[in-house]
Amino acid sequence: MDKTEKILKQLFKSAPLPELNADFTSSVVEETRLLYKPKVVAYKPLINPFVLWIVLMIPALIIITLIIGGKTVNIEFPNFLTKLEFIDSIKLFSNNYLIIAYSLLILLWFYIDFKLINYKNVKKL
Amino acid sequence: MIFESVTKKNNCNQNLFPASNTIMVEKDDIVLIKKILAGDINAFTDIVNRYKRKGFNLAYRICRNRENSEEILQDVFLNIYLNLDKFKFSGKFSTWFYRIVYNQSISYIRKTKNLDYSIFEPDGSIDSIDEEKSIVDKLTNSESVIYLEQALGELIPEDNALLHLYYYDGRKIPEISVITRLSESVIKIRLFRARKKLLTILKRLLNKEFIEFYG
Repeated sequence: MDKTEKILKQLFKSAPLPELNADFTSSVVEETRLLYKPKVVAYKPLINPFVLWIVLMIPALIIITLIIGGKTVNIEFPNFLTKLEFIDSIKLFSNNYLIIAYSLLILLWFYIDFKLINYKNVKKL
Repeated sequence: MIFESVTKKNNCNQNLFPASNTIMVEKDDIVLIKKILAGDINAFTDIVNRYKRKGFNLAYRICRNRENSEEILQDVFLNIYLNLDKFKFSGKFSTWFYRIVYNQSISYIRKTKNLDYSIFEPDGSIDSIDEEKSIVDKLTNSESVIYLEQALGELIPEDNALLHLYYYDGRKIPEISVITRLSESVIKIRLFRARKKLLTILKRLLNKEFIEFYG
């Protein structure tokens, strides 16, 4: 480092600079506090709600069809459906059991979905 | 000499373990930033306390007004708080901070003042190395500190910022390049010119003093 550089460095470092207001930090922090909003953890579903709705509606429609078919209306099921054993067993259940089973399925679905929320992507500020 | 003793004192504190000290500060900054991002507002107070003086000095060198510099710095800290999630942990927080202070101060100056850069051209430049040496010798007087502020006031804000970052803060050229978004070669040229301008103005001021003193 040459002499000029050295002298200029010393000169700059020794030159007086005005002082900041004593309450600068507190005023900045206070203003920031006003801006600060409590963190709201947004629910970020693991599966697109539309996809979820479709997936839930398919078994719902099947069950509703089976209830109607088994209880009130004699619907002629296509051959491939009547051949399956579970159709007959479902027909034996009452409506209530099916509704409870379906509700449990939905609850289980939501439980899994909430458990696996990716919190990392939720903004903290 | 007044400034020599001040500088020696500063250097003693800074140069104990300079490299390890910098790394420690950087690590602390990262810890504090993570805390702020987790919603800890007290960590933000620590960041403000740590950087307010450095930020204020740079803003003051550019704006040359205490109140405006404080206002700019307040906006800088608020911006930092609101955009902290955009900070990339690969870089240094201090560089990011300085860049925001620099940009905000320059844009403030551009907004408020219609700068005519021609007025910043000093008369009677220094042509020879001997002339530069004689000025530098005069600068070792304690009174020359008073003239530095006056001389800086005659330079353009960008040059002031470059000189401050290089001479006062001791930032390296690559870091100044990141802060100002100018290429390293441009910074070297501008620093050279700014230094020459500064010395020219100081020469004029010191000569004036000499004439006034001795008639």
